[in-house]
Amino acid sequence: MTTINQIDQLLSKWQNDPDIWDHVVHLRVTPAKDANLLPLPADMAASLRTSLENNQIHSLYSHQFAAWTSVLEGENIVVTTGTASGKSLCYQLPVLHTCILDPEATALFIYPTKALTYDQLQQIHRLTNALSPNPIKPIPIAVYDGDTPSANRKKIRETSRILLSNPDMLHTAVFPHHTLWEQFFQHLKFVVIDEIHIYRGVFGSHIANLIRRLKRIMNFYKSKCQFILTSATIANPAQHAAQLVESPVRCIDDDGAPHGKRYFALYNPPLVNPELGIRRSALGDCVTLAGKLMQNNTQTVVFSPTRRSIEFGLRALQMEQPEFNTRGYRSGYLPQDRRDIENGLRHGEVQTVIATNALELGIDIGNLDAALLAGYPGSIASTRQQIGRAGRKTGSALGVLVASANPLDQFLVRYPEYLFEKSPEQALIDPNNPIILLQHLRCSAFELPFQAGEAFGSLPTDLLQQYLSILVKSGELHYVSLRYYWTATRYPAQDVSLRNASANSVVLSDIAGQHPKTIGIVDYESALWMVHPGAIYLHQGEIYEVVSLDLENASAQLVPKDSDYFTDPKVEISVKKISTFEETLIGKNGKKGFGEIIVTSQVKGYQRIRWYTREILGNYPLEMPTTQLQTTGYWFVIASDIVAKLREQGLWSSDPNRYGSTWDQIKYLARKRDHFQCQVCRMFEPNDQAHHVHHKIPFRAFSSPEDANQLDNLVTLCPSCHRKVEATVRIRSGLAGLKYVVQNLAPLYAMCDVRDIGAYADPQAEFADGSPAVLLYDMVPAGIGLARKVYELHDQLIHDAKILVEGCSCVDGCPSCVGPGVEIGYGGKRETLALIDGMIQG
Amino acid sequence: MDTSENLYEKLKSLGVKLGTSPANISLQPQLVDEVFPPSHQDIDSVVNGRNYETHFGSTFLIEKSFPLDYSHGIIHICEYPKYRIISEWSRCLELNTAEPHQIVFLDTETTGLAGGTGTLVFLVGLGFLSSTGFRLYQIFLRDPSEEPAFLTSLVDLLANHTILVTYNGKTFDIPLLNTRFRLNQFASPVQSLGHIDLLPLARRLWRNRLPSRTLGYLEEELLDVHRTQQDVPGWLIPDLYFDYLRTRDARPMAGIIYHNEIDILSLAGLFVMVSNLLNHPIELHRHGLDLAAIARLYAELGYEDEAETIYEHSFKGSIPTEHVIQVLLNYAKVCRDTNKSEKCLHAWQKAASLGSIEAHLKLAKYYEHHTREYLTALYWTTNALDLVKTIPYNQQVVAELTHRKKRLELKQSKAEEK
Repeated sequence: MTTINQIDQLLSKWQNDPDIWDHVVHLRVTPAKDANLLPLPADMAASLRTSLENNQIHSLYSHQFAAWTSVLEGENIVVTTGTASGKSLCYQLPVLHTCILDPEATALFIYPTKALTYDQLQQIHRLTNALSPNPIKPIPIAVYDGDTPSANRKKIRETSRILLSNPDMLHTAVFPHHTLWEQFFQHLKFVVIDEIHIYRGVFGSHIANLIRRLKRIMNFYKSKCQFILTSATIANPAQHAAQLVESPVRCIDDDGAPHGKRYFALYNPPLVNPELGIRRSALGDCVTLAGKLMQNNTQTVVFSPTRRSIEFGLRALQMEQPEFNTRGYRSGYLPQDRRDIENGLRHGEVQTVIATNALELGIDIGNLDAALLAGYPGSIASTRQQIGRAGRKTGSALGVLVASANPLDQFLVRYPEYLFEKSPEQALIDPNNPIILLQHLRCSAFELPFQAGEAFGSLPTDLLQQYLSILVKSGELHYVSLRYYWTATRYPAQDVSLRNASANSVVLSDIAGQHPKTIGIVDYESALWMVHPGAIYLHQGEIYEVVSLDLENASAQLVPKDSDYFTDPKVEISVKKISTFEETLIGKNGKKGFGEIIVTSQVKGYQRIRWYTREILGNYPLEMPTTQLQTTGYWFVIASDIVAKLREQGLWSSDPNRYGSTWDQIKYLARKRDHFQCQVCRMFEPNDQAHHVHHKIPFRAFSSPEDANQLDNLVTLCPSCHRKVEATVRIRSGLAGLKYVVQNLAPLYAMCDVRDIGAYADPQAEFADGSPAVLLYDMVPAGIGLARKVYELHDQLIHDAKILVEGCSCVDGCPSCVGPGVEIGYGGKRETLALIDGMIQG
Repeated sequence: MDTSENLYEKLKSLGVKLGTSPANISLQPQLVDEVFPPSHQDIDSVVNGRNYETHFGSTFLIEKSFPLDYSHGIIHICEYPKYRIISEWSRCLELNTAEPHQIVFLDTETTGLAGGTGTLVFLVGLGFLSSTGFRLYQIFLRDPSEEPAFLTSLVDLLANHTILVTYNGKTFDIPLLNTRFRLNQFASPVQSLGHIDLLPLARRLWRNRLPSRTLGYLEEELLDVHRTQQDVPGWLIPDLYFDYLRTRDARPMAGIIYHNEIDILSLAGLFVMVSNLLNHPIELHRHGLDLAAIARLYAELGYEDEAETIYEHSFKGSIPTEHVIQVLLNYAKVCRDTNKSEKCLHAWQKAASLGSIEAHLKLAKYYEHHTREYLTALYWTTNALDLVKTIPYNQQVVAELTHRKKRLELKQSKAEEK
């Protein structure tokens, strides 16, 4: 076990080791902090107080006390204090207190994962088992999920007073049968929703509607409840909470828990090919660092995204450090194995664990000394939760984010403020997304007939009225005597997945075993680019390759594959604007706006790209049908004066020598072929000056001058036309680079996966009246608010784009900034920066 | 309604499917005309019935009587049999002392099979015996808004009865009715009634002999009832009712009402038949497998001597070879429990000769522990081992047998030493 100073000693050793310290680009030290303790509340039920004391809890952290006070005053709260700050007690105490004093009171605890549910069941049992004296009426606590044996269910429905469940179970099994839970709903006093930062985007929009359904049911039983929520650190916890439950929510974020000294280092693996911007693998450097931590006897967790990387890292560590106990941890391990590893971590027998984010959420593994992250896990909240796995109440702890070559990783190592005090991440939901809303209106109508004039959460009544009318017209509802009755044979909850937002979906099945196994579903609109044949699909850390996609039967067949690459589809996109919701001027005549668009796309092929380094391994063509996505988009239009400026700046002559020794001869051949005539303006060469010869596909896109200088890639142009053509290429390159940058940065504000946002750039965009423009759009039909949010944060986005591109050490574009050079013709870095500067200066 | 047109267009362009059932769903949903089509026909013009008045308004009631000598297929439904065994098996002892009219047969027609609060009960059929014959009441939900009156009339109609007889009522009709009562914030009257569900009993009796245990199948096979063209298949019923709600053309309801009527009559007929069969299995001389099933039921209820006799009769009938061994083993158990060792041994030996490993084991155990005839026990064990080798069998059984064989050889050699 590490003693108090071991981390500090290790750090000072590392600071003198250039092999490590040269790559540490930032070190943040948070000094140790004492607990802010308050005595147990005087008004707490005596038996609960005894239970706490028996569990060695003699005082509360200030945030736990604040939660207690607010809840007892009847407020809804969201607790957003740090990892391991005792958030569970914030809801357990007032709920148990109420259940002790009110022998009928019940409470519903909603957890996002099964593993977390069982972990929490144990925790709360520790409190109830120690209640003394016993409450007048026992407080049965039960988990109700897909694993609950049917023999136990009736008893749980009729007797449980604290119910632990998950959204899917409530959606399909509890709400549609609410009459079986009459007692429970009649006396429901608290609804606890744990880890609400998970409920964002599509999933969150479903959850908000689930809460609307719950409120209708409670209204039927004439009961009212308070909401107690918890969240990891995000930029908008109170607003997000309030939007989920559609009631005012007080935010409790003043963390009273103690912690030791914390080091947080950002580590950028060195470039191995500076020109192409290829870096050493984040996982490899993580393994090296983990080995050093092991030698130092430091208990460490290494987070890595995929099963493959877990296994690779595990093998490497076990081989290099055979004397230490290293374990892997991911979904797919047997529950018993997972419990063993968790115990081993708590008791110090497991020294190093290499895990996927399966270990990120709440599971009690005690506190470790160090956490290493092989690559940015996709959100700042996740980063903080994973880093938070290291840190004891006393003693120092170390967290290291080892950056990969992804643009977001490279942005964050350059601008670490976002990782610390000012996270820009906003959890976004749109409960009124028409597809999601309609699905839940069906479910809710099944649960209880709507009455004319009734509300559905905050949905405007006239809009609700319109939806109900449509369902009446389609025959799904029957309207009579001011009530809407469900009149379809379907059980609507069965057709609604809380993870999707499409009217139609494609089922993914693993066909490797004897019997196909369903592993998930994707929206129909996304299927073509997410699960096209040959695509690599990641599911719970497991890597699959798509064998076939059967659109007629809405199914895709996959097999697990041990691949060291991911795939990136090449999609041809055209965009049509339907309506503009908002548009404002930026600069002289630039514009930003957002509105409704239709994106028509066709997958033409895909690339295989190596994990971590982003090397391109190959291109593969595909024939796929076109699809249409109607959604919301945010666009910005480049002002004409910026274009003009760029044109001026483009007047430089390239060094002729680099085209190879035979260039003069080839040039002559090309001019001769073109009859010494400009192929654009048809002007003949004057006697004193030869026309230019232009590469149609840019020279740089080829690996040898011979390939680039093929005659059919060359065209004769007069100097004036050449300038125009070059400028167009440059603008095209600049736009493409800018698109790449903003698409990759956008998830930082909208808290989503890079795949949730589509991007498009066009030098003559139809939706921008022929001006050059960049468009970002929601990949969910009708949108979920991502594009709108990025629209609001346009200035910040462009500002951050500058930081990313300017700070990149590559020569002329790389995967970490504006995209790999070969893809967009000229590298485009210069051009991208010129565009960004133009926009910032207005 | 016009304001919803834009939203409707938007949903359509997002690919949303609208419609009542998978069969009706299309990407281009058809809107139903709001105005009732000219075919509009009320239920009272389709079937004979009347308004039944309650505090909550009226509901539609259909009444029908069947004379005392009425026969439904081959069964006189007004017969009043003894209920001894059926009441014991259903743990509904009040049936023994009940007056005939206290028993009510109940069947519902609903808008879905999945259950849940969105499933409506729109037709309840009730049948019972009266001094003048068999009476049938059917209450029909003309419209969901009539549900309070509909349920109140059900409370009224159930008031004179204490015992409910259903087919699959335990898992379907009763929970659904309870849900409807709770949703209307009424106390459910069915909770205080005794309840006999014939489905589990039918499963017990005919699991092996008949390919299906649906009421429709049993009525044809056992009661010789054949429905007329008027009948509608069960799966069509929800959609027919929804169509009726939309069009107000009640004509297709006649078929559903007929369907429900025959269900009630068949339920009553099956009840009479099963009660008689359970009380007098030997006299009614059924199929051998039926007798074996009834014998097992008797044994479970503690009537081992009667069970033994019924089993013995069952062997006189025909029992398909794939079931003989199991019946013999069940029979042997009854004999063993009543200390009729000879009969028991005989049954085991018969089963063993038919290739039953289990019977071999029983015999081996019996001779080892009971009579301590180790050589005989060894004989059955060795035989079983030989038999096991010829068929794919559980490794655990082989291990167990081998172990037993070693032990027996040891015991035998010790016995010889003595």
